[in-house]
Amino acid sequence: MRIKSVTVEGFRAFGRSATIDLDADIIILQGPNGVGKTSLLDALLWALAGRISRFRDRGSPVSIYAREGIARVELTFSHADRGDIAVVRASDGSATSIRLKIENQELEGAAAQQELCNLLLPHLRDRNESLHTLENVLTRGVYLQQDLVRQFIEVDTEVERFALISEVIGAGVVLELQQALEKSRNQWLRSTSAFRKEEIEPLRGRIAQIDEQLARLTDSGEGVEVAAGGPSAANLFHRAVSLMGQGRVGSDEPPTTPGRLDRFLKSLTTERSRIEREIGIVAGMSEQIRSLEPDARDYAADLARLELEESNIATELKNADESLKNEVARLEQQRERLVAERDKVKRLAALARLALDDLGDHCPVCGQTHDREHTVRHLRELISSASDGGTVSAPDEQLSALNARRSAVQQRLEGVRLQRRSLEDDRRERDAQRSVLVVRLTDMGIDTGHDIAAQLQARRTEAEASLRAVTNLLAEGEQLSLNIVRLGEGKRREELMAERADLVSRLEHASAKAESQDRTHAEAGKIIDGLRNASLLVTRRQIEQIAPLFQRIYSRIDPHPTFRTTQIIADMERGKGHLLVGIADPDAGSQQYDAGPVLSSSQLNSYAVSLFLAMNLALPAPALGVTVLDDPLQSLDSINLLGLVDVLRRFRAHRQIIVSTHEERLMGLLQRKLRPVRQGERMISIAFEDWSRDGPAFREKRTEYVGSDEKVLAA
Amino acid sequence: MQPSDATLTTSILVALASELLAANGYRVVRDLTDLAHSADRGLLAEDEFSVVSVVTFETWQQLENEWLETQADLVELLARRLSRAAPKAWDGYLVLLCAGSAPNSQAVSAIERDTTRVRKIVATGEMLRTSADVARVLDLLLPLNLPNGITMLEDVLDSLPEVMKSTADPDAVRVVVDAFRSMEPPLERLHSLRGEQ
Repeated sequence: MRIKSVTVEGFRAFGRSATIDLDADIIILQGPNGVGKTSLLDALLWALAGRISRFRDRGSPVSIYAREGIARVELTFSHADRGDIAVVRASDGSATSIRLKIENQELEGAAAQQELCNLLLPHLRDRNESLHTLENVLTRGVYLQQDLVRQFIEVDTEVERFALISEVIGAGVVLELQQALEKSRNQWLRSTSAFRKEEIEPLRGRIAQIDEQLARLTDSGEGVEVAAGGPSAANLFHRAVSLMGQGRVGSDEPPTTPGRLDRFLKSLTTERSRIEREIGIVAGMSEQIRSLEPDARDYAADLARLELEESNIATELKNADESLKNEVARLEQQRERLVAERDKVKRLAALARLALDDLGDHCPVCGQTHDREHTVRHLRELISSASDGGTVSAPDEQLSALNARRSAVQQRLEGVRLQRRSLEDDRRERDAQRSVLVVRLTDMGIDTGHDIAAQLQARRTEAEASLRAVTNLLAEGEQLSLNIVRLGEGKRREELMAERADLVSRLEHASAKAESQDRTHAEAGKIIDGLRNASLLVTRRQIEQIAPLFQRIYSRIDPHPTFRTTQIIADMERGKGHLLVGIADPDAGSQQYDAGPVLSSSQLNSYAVSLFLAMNLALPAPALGVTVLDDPLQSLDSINLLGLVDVLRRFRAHRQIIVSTHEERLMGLLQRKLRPVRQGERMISIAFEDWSRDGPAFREKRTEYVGSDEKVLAA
Repeated sequence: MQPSDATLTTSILVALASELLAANGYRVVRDLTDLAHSADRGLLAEDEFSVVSVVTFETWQQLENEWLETQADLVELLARRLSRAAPKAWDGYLVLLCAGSAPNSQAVSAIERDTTRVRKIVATGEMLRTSADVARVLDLLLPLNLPNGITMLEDVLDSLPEVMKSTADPDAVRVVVDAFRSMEPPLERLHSLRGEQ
């Protein structure tokens, strides 16, 4: 692609609309400072990138003389496959719009910008960072701005330089890929873990369950043998029916299922218990029937004897009670007499005390004399006898003996009565037992009128035979049940073995799948590890491509007689790329020097322009084959200037060149050196002569290849 | 006779220059009688841009004494064969190659910085030890050919298989890159690459 024309209106120095033909291999802009050359070049950058980064956020591109306050640039460039393409960008100072006219369609806004980026940087197609990268490519590799000539080598750090190259070549996409791959890998790992948890672990768990079940199952072979020689369910059933009757068997068909067999065995067990009970009852009856024999004891005689004895003893008790009553009455009379005597003593004692209080030699009543000592002694004896409490009669032995005799009679009476009641109870119980036994025998169908013992013995013999038959049936039934169980276990074992084999197969398949996923996970990890350094390696490789071009261009411009070797070295340190640029004296070894302190300002410009041109060729701007240089010749000495012009002359083979200069004397040099030399080549010289509020005044001169260039050497 | 590795002889210098210029689009003429002072020790070359006279000298003294005459030869030739208005009349290059060494760089620089008449390019023995040195001196007269492949900048993603071949299988990297481009699940595609289940 190369630029064909630009229409600028209201943009920086261009107040009114101006259309400039740029459809040439070489476009030379010449004019004094401040007439609009840089504005024209900025218009190209703005149309493509949408901003001019060197202005940062200072002001707007809208010309202060734009009558409607709108800046508009329409840039037309040619595309080998898609024809002419026009990008129109406009701004009112606050909002910027873009329109792209391409192949009879018009795109606007973000779509237009993205399509433009895709056109110019096809290697970054549809990438998010392409617009920012485009601006960097245009600023650092396409449009050499006066203010930024030395920024790359003087201002930018080593890391920033490397990052710039990395971004320009699109190495950032490697990081995007790495992040996307890491995300996918993490999800892949979760998916594999979930697969193991949901598929493999249940399979392993089920196999363990089956192994545990198999360990608990008997060997199927033995069970099968027993089953083959054992009783049949039908045989058992029919024998049971004939023995017990169908009602007790509880089923009308042979037990063909484990459940029915279980019920059949339970009915046999019940029958066996019933028969055992019957045998027990019959045995008990045989014992009890002795009570039906006539009594050896004469209950009536015994009772009459006891009643007579009871009557005699009762009479004896009555007499004892009478004797006791008489004795009690006699004792009562004796007690009343003793009480009266004791009261008399107490009265005499009281009188004696009174007499003692007032006792003199004469009686106070009768005045008789008395023996005082004798009287006192007598009174004190009276008092003393009263204080003795009177005479207490000793227990009456007669009464005690009567009481003892009565108690003994009473005990004898109770003993006789107890014997009588016991005898009566015995007789009643025996009668009751006989009645019950008769009823039970009758219930059992025993004819009590005949030989009961014989009948019971016959019944017992019959029951014992039935018991043996039922016991045999039960044993055979249990054997059949065991056979069935073992057959079932054998069948279950076979089923489990088959299921286990299926599960093992599925487990092997699932494990292989998980291991396969693990291998993919590991391989993705290796790729991610590789990607961590890949962006640096890719950038370094690109930088290594710049180095020889840089050296060739620098040598052609030849700014310094000693420091003739350029160095541009990509290095990686702690995961970060560094881009070192320097110079060296080839005659003094390879030691690198920072170009800034070594070279003069003019030489440094030459060095910077050389690096810019090398980057222009080596960095990815193939879609837009343009090199724009804003006054690169200023402050160059004559040798360097000629060298640069010679470089540009050879540069035209690869790029459309737009170069500006403020020096009028250089216009002729550039026109002569960069003249068309082949068929179809074209050069446009634009002389900016003046500037007004409407914009620059300029003259355009087109130079075509005429085909009759004079030659020194004859063909 | 063995070639010397110390310096290149004048005849070798002329031969190398002739071969190099001819290989890069120049028409080269040796022993041009119009060049009175340099015909037997140099050559004349011409392409669409310019006319180049390459003259060799054995010693610096000889060069210092004679370069003005060789320049005059070239200027006269241009004047004789081109009109004043012809661009090439102002596009002459005089390449002075000396097998001997220069006493100092200032002497060389003094000649080169004289930009009157034609541009002078001077190289002396210490700079001319190999054929590549000759190519380097004449490089500014040659087309600026780009290294192979530099004009075809590939998508960075395309370069990854080669860049990462020491750490990852290039086929695997290629599959992952393709999946990334087409927004397909990369590990699924990587998995499929190996025929994994």
